[in-house]
Amino acid sequence: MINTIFKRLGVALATVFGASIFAFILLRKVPGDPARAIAGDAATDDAIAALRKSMGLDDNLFVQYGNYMGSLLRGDFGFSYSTGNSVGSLLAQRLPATVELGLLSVIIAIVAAVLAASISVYSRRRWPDRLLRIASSLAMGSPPFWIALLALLVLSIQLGIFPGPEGRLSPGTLRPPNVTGMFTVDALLAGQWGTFVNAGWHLILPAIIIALGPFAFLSRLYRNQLRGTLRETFVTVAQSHGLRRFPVYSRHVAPHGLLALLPAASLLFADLLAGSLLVEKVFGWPGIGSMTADAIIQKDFAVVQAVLLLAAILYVVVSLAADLIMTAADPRTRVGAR
Amino acid sequence: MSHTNALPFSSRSMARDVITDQAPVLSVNGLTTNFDTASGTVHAVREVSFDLYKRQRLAIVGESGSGKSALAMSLVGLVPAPGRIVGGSVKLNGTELVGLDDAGISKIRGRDIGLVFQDPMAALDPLKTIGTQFVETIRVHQDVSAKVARRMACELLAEVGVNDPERRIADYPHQYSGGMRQRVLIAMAIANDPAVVIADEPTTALDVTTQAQVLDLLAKICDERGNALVMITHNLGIVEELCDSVNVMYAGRFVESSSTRSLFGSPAHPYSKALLDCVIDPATAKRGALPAIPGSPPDLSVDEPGCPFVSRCPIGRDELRCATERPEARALAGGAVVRCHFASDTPGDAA
Amino acid sequence: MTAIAAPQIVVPARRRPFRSFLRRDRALTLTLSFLAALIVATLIGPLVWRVQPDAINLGAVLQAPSLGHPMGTDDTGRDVLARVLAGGRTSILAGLTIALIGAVAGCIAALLAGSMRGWVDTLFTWLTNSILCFPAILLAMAIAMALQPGVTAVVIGLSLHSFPWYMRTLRGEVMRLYGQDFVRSTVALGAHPARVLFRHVFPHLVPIMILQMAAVFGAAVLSLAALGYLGLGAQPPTAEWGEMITDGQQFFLTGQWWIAGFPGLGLLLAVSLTTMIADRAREVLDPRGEFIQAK
Repeated sequence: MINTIFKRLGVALATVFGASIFAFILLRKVPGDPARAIAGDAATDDAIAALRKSMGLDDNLFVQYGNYMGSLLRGDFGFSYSTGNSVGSLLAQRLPATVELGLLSVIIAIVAAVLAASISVYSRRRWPDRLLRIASSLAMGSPPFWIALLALLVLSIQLGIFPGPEGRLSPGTLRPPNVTGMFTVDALLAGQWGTFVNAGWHLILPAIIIALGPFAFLSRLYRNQLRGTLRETFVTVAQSHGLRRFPVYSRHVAPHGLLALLPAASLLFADLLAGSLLVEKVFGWPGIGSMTADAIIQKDFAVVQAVLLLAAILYVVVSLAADLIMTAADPRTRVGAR
Repeated sequence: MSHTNALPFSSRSMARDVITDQAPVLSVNGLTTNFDTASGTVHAVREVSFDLYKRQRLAIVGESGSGKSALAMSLVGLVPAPGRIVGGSVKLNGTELVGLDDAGISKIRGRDIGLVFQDPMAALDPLKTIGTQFVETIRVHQDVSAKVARRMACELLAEVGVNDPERRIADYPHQYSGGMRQRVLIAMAIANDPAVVIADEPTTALDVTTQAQVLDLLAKICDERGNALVMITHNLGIVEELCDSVNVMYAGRFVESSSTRSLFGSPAHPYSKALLDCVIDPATAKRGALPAIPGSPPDLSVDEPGCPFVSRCPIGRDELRCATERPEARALAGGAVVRCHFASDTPGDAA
Repeated sequence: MTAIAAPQIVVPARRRPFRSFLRRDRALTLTLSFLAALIVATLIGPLVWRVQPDAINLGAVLQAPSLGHPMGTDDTGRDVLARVLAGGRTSILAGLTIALIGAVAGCIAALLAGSMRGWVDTLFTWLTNSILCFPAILLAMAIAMALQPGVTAVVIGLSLHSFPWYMRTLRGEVMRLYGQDFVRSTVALGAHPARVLFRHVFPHLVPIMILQMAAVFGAAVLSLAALGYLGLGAQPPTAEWGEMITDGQQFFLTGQWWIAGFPGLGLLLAVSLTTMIADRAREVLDPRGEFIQAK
């Protein structure tokens, strides 16, 4: 068990190392001079040379990588030329909005996927399963940025059920005191009901749209897992002992399905990130996703590089955590054979 | 004639009195089960009828794919999809089981009919301890506290030969060997004292050395508690050692039903004969090809008009009647019931 | 212990011609024909609907769908139908390219890693882990920024991300196959390693590879559009669905829904139909869900 943990940890570190090299090379040495990109086409060669020097681009690659990692470890993610801020402070400022949105999306995706798949498998009828399949295929095939536009058009502009693309709060709404940076949580802590409702109302539509992709793949995964477990002998044996369908399902089938969802956690995370990258901009949501989308247009490579590397590290951390939880939760790996 | 090596079955020496003058515990009539697959309907069990009495040990033998397991599962309404019972009745002490809803049949399973399965390695939930699963099994049918159920479980585990049950009950299935798991599963099957125990090839997945022990245990337990036992197997050695009566199953039907002694002494159906010829006695076996029944079993999705064994049968192969007319069950003088136009129980007569 | 030398029941395998299979599976037939229609339309459509996708007509801007312009026109008077057809061609060809490059590279890597093991395996596994930890869109985005925004850069980026995905699944399967008796006995009989690899291992990878190609194709078409939407994919004047949605989004909310509406619908249909077909195929080829995880 201890061995397993250390081995996983080693693999995770090696992966982060590989990813950092990748991110570094990609944005430093592949054709296209970042200094020129930053200075703009009108800049003189001298100005670009000076900029190159100040950015350390003239050092050899190893020194550059060393410097880069060194400053990363000190918490220095570089400087965003397009906004005139340090990338670190930009991230800190933008993170809570994305985390708030992402958390709600995760909850929506997991709850909806587990419920839908459970109903479709438990009912044993054909049409709930067909419905789930069509729904998840559509959710998987839907371009989130387009669905966001469609939802805005129909639900907020035509029907007025949801607010328009105005960010996290309606104009004029009292901002809650900054504790966690998540408006709904902060508003609750401060007892500002009006703000809480308003913030929640703004959250729901983008959260549902970001959740579509994760819902599609989680519901498929869970459904297939449930159906696979239902074919296991121990399920028939439990029935032969006199357990009725529901207890068999809740005690012996569902736990196996939930356990199988854990390895998907890292994929879920990647999906969420991609989703927020594409959806935040449409809703004017001031998070990491819209920041990155802006940085791309501005060719602000320090921001993109930081986001790229952070995404990779978070992915590795999430999959490591899921892996360890899985090892701990499954008696076959937790307890050795006698 | 003996077809088997001597096995240390304690049951053999025990006096066995099957009570056949009372009403049967389990009465099966015309049971028919189909599997609707994409490539057609497979008729796995066709109009099977038999009676099971208290203390009786009944064997159902046949090749793989003859419908034995489908029959066992049909008895307790556990036929896996896309299979379903399409006709017939299963009566337990007079109560009809076919057509009961989930709540109704769940009350019967485990309490009145206990099942032992083929593959003990896959028959326990790997995420839960033996204790949890055992307590669950007891408390489905008995209104006792978890603590009492756990004590009952320990006693039963000790009875089936698990050493140190108080400690071992907290273990997970993967910490048990295959033979031990089958013992645990037998204990769970009889935990609620069912009148009938159905064992579906209970030793096929086990080591040869543990097979005898597990069978011995099963026989002993059924004897002590007076359960009737339905033993489903392809192993004729087990049948001869353990069972009072035999049903030979072929292509979803019982082709011969008789007492063990009469079947092994003078098999009536040509298929039964062929099966017995395939049994190898290591003491007298000659070198060379193993005996086998020529041909292969019929496709169960086709309902041919004649006898399903006709193409492989030494008697009926050239008989028009066997190819066109399905033999009905008929009783022979010796008491055996046979589905064959030409069978007789006088040795040498039919062959 | 004695036993009947029981001949195993062999249910005679019936020939299942593709056509009768399709006749039975109506839903699959329906989705397949929809997708086929979509592909055929985008590939030969431009031959029938002979309107230039980039022909600007300032005399007919922002026209609603009509007989002359079945899907309307955009803000520079370009015919949306012609652009949707051209965009579909871009998406489908790019998606196929990505699925193919990834499959070939991933399969070679998996065969190498799975059969040689040792440091080759360690190296490939490390490489795939290091690539897979980036979300596909972010990686393609970074590559498109580093190279030159455009379809080529996106195809490179997405292929780079799809190859480890194939490799991971196929490598496991190669290892599983090498542990199986039929492969081990061929090895024990002294068959040449290359023969074992190509005659006995590779054929078993093909169905898995095809299923994954379908999944990768769908994801790639969607990612390509996402990058087009972010301005990193196809560059004007190339028509591409994602880029068309960006173009049309400012008009979408003000009532001219057709400019972004139709390309989005095309995207939704192409990817959903592929997913449904891949789903059904998975059930046939891999009924127990052993190989392909949902992506």
